[in-house]
Formats: sequence, structure tokens, C-alpha cells
Amino acid sequence: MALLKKDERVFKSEVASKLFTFALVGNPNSGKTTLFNALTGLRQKIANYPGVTIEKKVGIFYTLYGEKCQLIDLPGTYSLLPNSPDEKITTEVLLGLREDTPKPDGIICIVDASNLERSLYLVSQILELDRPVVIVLNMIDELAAKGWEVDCRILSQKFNCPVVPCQANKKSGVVQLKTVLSKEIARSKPFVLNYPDFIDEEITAIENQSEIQGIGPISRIMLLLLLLSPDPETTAKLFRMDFLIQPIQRAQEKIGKLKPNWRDAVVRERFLTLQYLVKGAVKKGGHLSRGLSDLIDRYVAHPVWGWLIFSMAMALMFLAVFGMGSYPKDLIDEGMRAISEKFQAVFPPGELRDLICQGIIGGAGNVVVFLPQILVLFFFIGLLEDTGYMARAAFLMDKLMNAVGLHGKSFLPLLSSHACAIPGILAARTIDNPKDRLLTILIAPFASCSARLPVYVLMCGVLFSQHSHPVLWSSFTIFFLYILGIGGAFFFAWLFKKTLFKGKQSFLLLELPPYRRPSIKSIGLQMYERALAFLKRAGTIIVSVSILLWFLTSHPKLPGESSSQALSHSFAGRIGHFIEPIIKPLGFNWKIGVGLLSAQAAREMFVSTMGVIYTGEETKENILPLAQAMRKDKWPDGKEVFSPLCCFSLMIYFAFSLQCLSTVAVVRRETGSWKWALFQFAYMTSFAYFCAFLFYQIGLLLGFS
Amino acid sequence: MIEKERKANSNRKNTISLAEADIGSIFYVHSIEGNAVECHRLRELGFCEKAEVVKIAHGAMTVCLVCGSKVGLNKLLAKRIFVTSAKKDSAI
Repeated sequence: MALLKKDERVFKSEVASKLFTFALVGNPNSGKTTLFNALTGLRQKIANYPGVTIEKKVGIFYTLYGEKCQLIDLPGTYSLLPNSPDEKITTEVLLGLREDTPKPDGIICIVDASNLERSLYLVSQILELDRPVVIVLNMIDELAAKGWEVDCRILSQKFNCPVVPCQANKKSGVVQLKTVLSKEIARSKPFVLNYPDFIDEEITAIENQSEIQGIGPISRIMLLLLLLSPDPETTAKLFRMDFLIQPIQRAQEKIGKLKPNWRDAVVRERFLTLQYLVKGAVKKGGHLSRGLSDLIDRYVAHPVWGWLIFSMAMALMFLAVFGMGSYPKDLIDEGMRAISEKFQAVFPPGELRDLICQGIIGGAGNVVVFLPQILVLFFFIGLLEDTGYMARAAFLMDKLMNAVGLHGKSFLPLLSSHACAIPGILAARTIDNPKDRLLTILIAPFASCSARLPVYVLMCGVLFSQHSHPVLWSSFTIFFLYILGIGGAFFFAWLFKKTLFKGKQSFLLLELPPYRRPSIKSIGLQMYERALAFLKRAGTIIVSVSILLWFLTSHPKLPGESSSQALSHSFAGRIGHFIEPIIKPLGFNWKIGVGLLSAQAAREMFVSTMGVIYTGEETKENILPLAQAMRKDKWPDGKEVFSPLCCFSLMIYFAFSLQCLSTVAVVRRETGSWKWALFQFAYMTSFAYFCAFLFYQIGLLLGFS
Repeated sequence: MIEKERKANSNRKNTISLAEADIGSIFYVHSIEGNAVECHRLRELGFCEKAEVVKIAHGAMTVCLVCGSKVGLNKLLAKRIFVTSAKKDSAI
């Protein structure tokens, strides 16, 4: 059992994918992506909780001889018998069952050195696949600091494959790993584990039967996994071995009659063997039990203290978004206005000046100003992920999640959706039960994503900028809107669980990562990438749509019209007037209607559209801040358009509606049909309209304006 | 069905569920209840018969140490894992 010889490697690489391919596999949160980043120089997302990688990722690295290799980072798993869609990807890639991915020529198994027994369970299954394997012992420095020693030479002898110590986050051991991956290593003895007799007998019987039927040799570990599988039909289909369904079912029945607790015996025997193999290789030092970590867990898991800590963390996050984010936001805002004024002064009046000032700066500029607040939000989410608190928070929310019919694991996709619904929907892959997964996907976009934040901040600016405590009131309002979004998600989860997805509650089981000091570098990198993505979006889609909107709002030009008359008669004005009867019961005028239409592409387009419409309208006098310009807008009867009732109605509409074409496309991909994607769009939009309508009309009846 | 339950109950004499177990004590896994898929996943995580478990915390979740790693379980699941005390003089 060792790496392929060089000539075999060349042959394989030419036939399969032109590149020698390694798969990187291990338990969740064992540091796979950190090692992947260290080897490839890429910057895939890493965090201190299990289930961050939910899709395979591919990178390139070079061996010490300059050979180009392909590295596939796979979702974490505990066993080759998959339980959830993300684990299924790992099994399929390792067994070479995916058409879009070449069968790996070598496998790098990454193992948390402080947790050898558990990690080696998966490694032992992979070793039995009889493929070239390298074991990487990660976090070895942390173990050494506690006085523990792992003898890699002994482990290598016992597992018949190279074993490399490593500390992936510090990139130590990476060169040694590359050296091993570069070497020509002669084949050694394969790794063979003894199975209990009753399993051996059945495997031999199936092998004989397959031989008689003319089917080629089948790997013993695959037969063992099929035998152990509680759902042999699904597993056999996954392994493309449908012909074995009946023989396996018969064998399971036979063993079950002889030994009722046979599955436990098989797993236990594997663990005992691994314990025996590891014994001589590990020299134990101080106690690995994390005293302080355990103490923190007692408070975090406490029914009262736990909630208090959680609420304080959330409150701090929202206050920081406004307290820390508002100052740089105002600076960018002023900068944008100064740039716009410069252009006004330099260029003579005309189409080009209007295009630059109203179309580009008025459109994209109004979205860019929200970048600091979005970054503060990402900083706090990164902080919660990196410390290891996220997995604990999932348990805190579990009871609440269960009460509304959601799975405890749904918390992580829901929390991710507060950054963006798309990674949140993808994160639902970690949920084992298909019904629970679909339910989570259907309600995830209710979580207030960062694209909603610019809309909320703008409306709070309109509402509270002249108030004595704008930061406090804005924080409170936006916190309430976030709760409202979660409330909507919980209500529909409860409704769907009672109607569409009836079934039993699933359990929640998560490996709790150790508490770690957050890595500012890692959080900073995530923030940088988010900022880049945000600015890219602002510089492409938002600028393009803003230019189109500028054209629609400023054409056709009729001589002698005031700016508001021209806007009203423009193409956009006509579209807005056309839809106004539908949105007027919600308190919205035609200008808001144009904003809502453009927001269907992306929510933050609403702010950009308001920028084009309102600041464009004011350019002949002077350029006003957007919120101030909006506040000046009046209905024909002289009443304010952006009254408190209208502002709240608009925010409620945004809190519940699905206005993101990318989300619809991702839901279609994840659910495999347009049916669920369109259903989600229809029910969320109708619900948003209904709630905003109810709020506005009841408000009017109660005498509010 | 009733007979099956009675048999399971008699097999679980001198055991308690992990949810009821004391914090800070060491236990051995006796048996797991539940559907086959859930039970198998638990076993693969180290909760197989006679495996050593240390209970660390309970409340919103049950935290325990198994196979060297810290695992969190919700109450529903902790109630399905039956354990016996590792010490003879234990209260169990």
C-alpha cells in the first residue's frame, strides 16, 4: 500500500485528466481546507466549526520536482457510508463514481492528531480501498505543546503508508508533505483488517456468487459497507451495484437472526483494532481534556446563561454594525458627493455629465457607501465562526428549531443566510434528512441577508437621521427586522412541517470544535474577499442596471419640463405609473415601484435606483444626500411619501420578499426542479405583499400617517 | 411489541440515559435506541458498546467526550444512549 510508481503515475495522468490528481479527505473540522489553501495558495473559506466545505473544490500545486498536480478538497465525513448529500460527494469522488471528477490517483487523509482513534476510523476504510494513501497528522504542534508525542515512523509501519506530521495553519510540514508526494515510493503490503467471522463468511459467499455470475472482483471494504448499511438499497445504488441489493438484504437478515447486535460488534472491533495499532505510536503527556473549554461549555450550554450570552453577542453585533460602520459610511458618502460635484463643475451640462453623475455615481455610489457596515457584520460572523461558538449556538437554538419543525442543524444554514442566502442554501447539504433539507432551503431566504442591509440602513436614515439618537433607533429597528425575518422563517417552517413535510423530528449531533483564539488574518481575508465580491457586483451589475435606469428615467427629454415633470414622463415613470395601482395600497408611489422592479435582480439595486431617481431630480439645484432627498418627496396632496408608516411598510416588504434571481437559480439547482424554486418565489412575494398591505392599512385605520 | 420493549427494559437494568448521567463522571456505553441509520452514525462516532464516555455538561445540550473528541448531543438523542457507570461504587 503506497503511492504509485512514477511510470504508473504518468500513464494514469495522461489517460484520466492529464494531471495527477490527489483527493484531500478527513473528518469535519480536521483542517482539510487549511491544508488545501497551504498547498495550492488559494483562499477557500475556513472556520472553526464542522461542515464549512459542502462542495468539492479543486486547486493546483507543484511537487518539489515541478510536477503539476491537481488537488480536490472534499467535504468532511466520518465514514465512507454517507449520511448526507455533502458526505455523498466525498464517497462518490473517492470511489471514482462521479463523471465530472477524475478518480483520484492518490488520497491525502488528514487527521486531527489530538483525536487519532476517531479520525483513523475513516482512514482505515480508505486504506482498505487499496489505493495510494498519505496520512497527514494535523495540529501536531498543539499536541506537542501538551507533552504528547506521536511516532510517525511506527504509525507508517503499522498502516503501511507514509505518515507526515503537520501544522497546516502555520504551513509547517507542508514541504515535507510535498517531498512525500514527489517521491517514487515502492508498493508495500496492503492494509488488511480482520472482520468478524460471520461477516467474512457472508462476504466470501457474495464474492463466490458474483464470480459465478461473471462479475469482476469487488473490493472487500465495499462489500462490508454494503452489509453494514442500514439502507442497503440506497447504498448499492450509490456504489452502482444494484445487482447486490437482494444478496445483501438476505445476508443482513441471516446475520441479524444469529447476532442481533452485529453492527455494533463490527464497528467496535474496528475501533479496538485501531486502538491496538495506535498504542505503541503515541506517548501520552498531560491531560487533553480542556479545563477552561469545558468550563465555558457549562455556561454556554446552560439554559439561562447560554441564552444570555447568545443575546448579548447578537446585540453587540448589531450595535457595532451601526456604531462602527456609520462613521466610515458617512465619509464615503461625502466623498461620493464631492466627486459628483467635481464632475458637475468640470463637465458642461449635457448627457455625458448626467450619465456620470446620475447614472454611475448616483447608482453604484449609493450602494458602495454601505460597504463598511457589511464588513463589520462579516467581521462579527467570522469572529463567532473562528472562536468555535457557532456549533454551540446551534444547540442553543435546537429546542426552538424543533418546536417549529426545523432540524437543529438548520441553524447554521440560517445563520449563513444572514450574510447571503446562497451559501446558506448550499450549507443545507449537511442536513441528513431530505425533507428537513428541503424545508431549510425553502425558508432560508427569510434570514436578512447583507443585500437587505443597505435598504434597511437607507430607510432608517430617512426615518431617524433627524432624531436625537439615530444610531440607537436604527440598531433597534434593524434588530427587529432581523427578528422579523427569522419569525417569518419559523412560521413557514412550522406551517410546511404540519402540511407538506410531515415526519418525525431528527436528532442533533455535532462534534464541538475546541475554543480557539480567532485568527484576525483569516477573518481579514474573508472580509477582503467579501468586499471584493461586493465591489465587483457594484462595478458590474449595479453600474450596468444603473446606467439603464438613468436612461429610462431621463428619456424621452421634452423641452420646457421641470425635472420632476420630466421624470414622471420618462420611460421609467410610465412603467412606475403603470404598476402604481398595485403598490399604492402598501403606501408606495410609482418611484418606489421602479425601485421594487429593479430590486428583483438584486435587493441592493433598490438603493441604487432611489439614488438615480432622487439625486438625479435634485441636480439642478444642488446634490442632496439620498435620505434627505427622499424625505422631501410628496404625494400630489402634499403629504410626505416616506412617512414612518410607508418606511416601515417598505422594510416589512423587503424583510419577507424574495428579490434575488441568483437565489432562485441556486434553489432550482439544489432541489433539482423549478417547481420548488417558483413555489418559494411565489409564496414569499405574496406573503411580503400581504404583510406590508396589512401593516399599512391597519396603520391608516389607527390614524397614523 | 410489548414483549420486545419488556426485553429491552430488562436488558437495560442498572443503566441510565446519558441525559440523566452526572456531569464529570465516566461511563461506558451500554446500548443505543433509535432507528438503524441514527444508531449506526452514533457507533461510527465512537458510541459503540463498552466505549468510554465522559459527560462534561448538560442543559441546552449534552456535551461529552468520546474517542478523544468533544461531542454535543441534543436532549432527544442523549435520552436514547444508555450508559453504565465506570465505577463500582457509583450511584447507578
